[in-house]
Amino acid sequence: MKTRKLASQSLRSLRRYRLRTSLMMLGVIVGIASLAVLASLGEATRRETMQRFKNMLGTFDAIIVRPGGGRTRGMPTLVNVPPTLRFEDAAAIGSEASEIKAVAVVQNAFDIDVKYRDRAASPAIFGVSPNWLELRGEDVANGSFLTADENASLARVAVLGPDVRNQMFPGEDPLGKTIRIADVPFEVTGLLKSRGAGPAGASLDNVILIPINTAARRLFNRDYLTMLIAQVRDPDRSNQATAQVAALLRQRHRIQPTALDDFTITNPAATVAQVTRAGTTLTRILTGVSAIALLIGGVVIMSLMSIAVSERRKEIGVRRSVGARQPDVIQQFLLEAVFVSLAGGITGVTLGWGGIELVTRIENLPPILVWKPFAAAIVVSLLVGLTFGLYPAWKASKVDPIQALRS
Amino acid sequence: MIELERISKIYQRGQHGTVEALRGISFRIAPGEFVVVRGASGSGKSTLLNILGCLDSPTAGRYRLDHEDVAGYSDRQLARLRNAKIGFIFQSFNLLPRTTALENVEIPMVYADGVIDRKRALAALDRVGLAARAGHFSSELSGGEQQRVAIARALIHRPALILADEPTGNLDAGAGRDVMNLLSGLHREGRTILLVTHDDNVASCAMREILLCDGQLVSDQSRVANLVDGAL
Repeated sequence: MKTRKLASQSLRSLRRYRLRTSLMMLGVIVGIASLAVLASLGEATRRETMQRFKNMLGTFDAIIVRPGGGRTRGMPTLVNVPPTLRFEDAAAIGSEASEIKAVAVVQNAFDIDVKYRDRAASPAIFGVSPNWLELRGEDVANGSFLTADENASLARVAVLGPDVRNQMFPGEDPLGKTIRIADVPFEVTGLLKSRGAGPAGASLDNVILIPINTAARRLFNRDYLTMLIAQVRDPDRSNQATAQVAALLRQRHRIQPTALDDFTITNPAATVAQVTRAGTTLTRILTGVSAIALLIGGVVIMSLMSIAVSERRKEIGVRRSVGARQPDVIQQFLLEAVFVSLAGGITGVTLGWGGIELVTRIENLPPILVWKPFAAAIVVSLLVGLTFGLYPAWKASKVDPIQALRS
Repeated sequence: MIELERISKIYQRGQHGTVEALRGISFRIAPGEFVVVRGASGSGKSTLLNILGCLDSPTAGRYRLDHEDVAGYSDRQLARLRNAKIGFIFQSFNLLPRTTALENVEIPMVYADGVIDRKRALAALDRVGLAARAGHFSSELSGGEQQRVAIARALIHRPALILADEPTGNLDAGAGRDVMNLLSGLHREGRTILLVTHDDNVASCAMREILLCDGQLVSDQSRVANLVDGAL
């Protein structure tokens, strides 16, 4: 009750001194607007990264194993990876690693000519195990996916990604048609749904999938893998799963304890966490700048409020003489600081929100508004008000009413 | 009603020096009295007023206000007394700037337990003849009007004691007369008023005069109050 009355007194004083109030809000507005925008961009980046992994893997609960210890330049293909990751490794992970539920294997290559009548293209060719789609928890758009029988019998069947389909079969139903991959005829038996962009930003739809055994023995004539996707049993234990798979592979490859891995494991959950934690240098600098803006905003509030306390000594004296206790005075001035800062925060958030909305519209970007950072920014502005209002409020409560009323 | 018993106040000045602003002051004020306190500068009038107004505590002695022994009260308890039982009127009016007359009158209600009762605030303004100016900012009011708003503010909680410190000191003769008529009227309604002044004319409105000199009470005389408006 009393707090409500004090709050209305605080709001009145803020309205009375409009210029001072808006000056106090300024720093907080700038700080909060940039903070909210940055945090929102960071969160949007995180989501985008997660989405791309999800596009590639279909599930977020999987880890990726690639041959080779160092980073491969560009996308790994049969041409540029060492022949160290074997089919037997995949089988062993599937049967021996307790943290792993299922394993899909991949052999892929680029720059292979694909022809249909007079049309030609060179999409990525992926030999995949029949459980590849199952791992994604998806279904084909049309036709059927590669089956275990087809894989066992080295059938020449192919499933097309939407890009290939659009490029080679405009206005035509590809199902049942025969395409030639490196001059080997394949029958189109299924069509994939669109997957969008992968972690590197490239389209995942310019692909042709064929059974991995067909790929290994009829097309590429290689007996090693370019990639292995291992679905983890418990999404919260992806780190343990990673460690377990690494230990198993080191043992199978007889790697000495001091030697480096001859494979690379990507744990999407960990990667996303890293992206979120670190951010880019630019983000960090900008976050620093907005933190400084907030700090300046807070200091401005503190100094202007302190000056106001000196100017309003008489008011404080009058309030004390009609029954205000020291805590009442503290409360009133603290509320003023919090209101100012909160108003600045809300204005800043509104500006930031509007700014993001404007940029995404002008640049025609996908919407990246995330509400949580904005809510956090409001809380931050409240804390700024509380922190920097404390000293002036304390100072106000220490004004001697006798002195103040005499002056 | 109001009882001072051997009140003294000693201020610390510097490291060793002390100033004895009040030395063993004792007197009583009965309900409905109109008392004027006079004395030269430095005689202890302001200190006495601050103690009576519960803004300051005596170094020694007993102060009973409306059956409460105030000595040893905490900041919180003193604040409650100031809110409920004291009405201050200052020489320099002390209205809040950029605040309407009505809002000024309502301020004591902010620190009381109840709600802000706009009707009662308007009634108080009406009592001092300023209901029509309720919405005016204090800067838009004349000195006399400001002091009348201050009186309305002092009246809002029906205080046991109205303390006025040179209430006409900053006013011209006409406005001063209005304010004194108002105070005399309040006295006739039965209010207890203690007024500090230098002005003989102002002092003549009171029925009792206390004279302070050098922190001591040197005389305490009752007399027939001059309630005739024309005397001022």
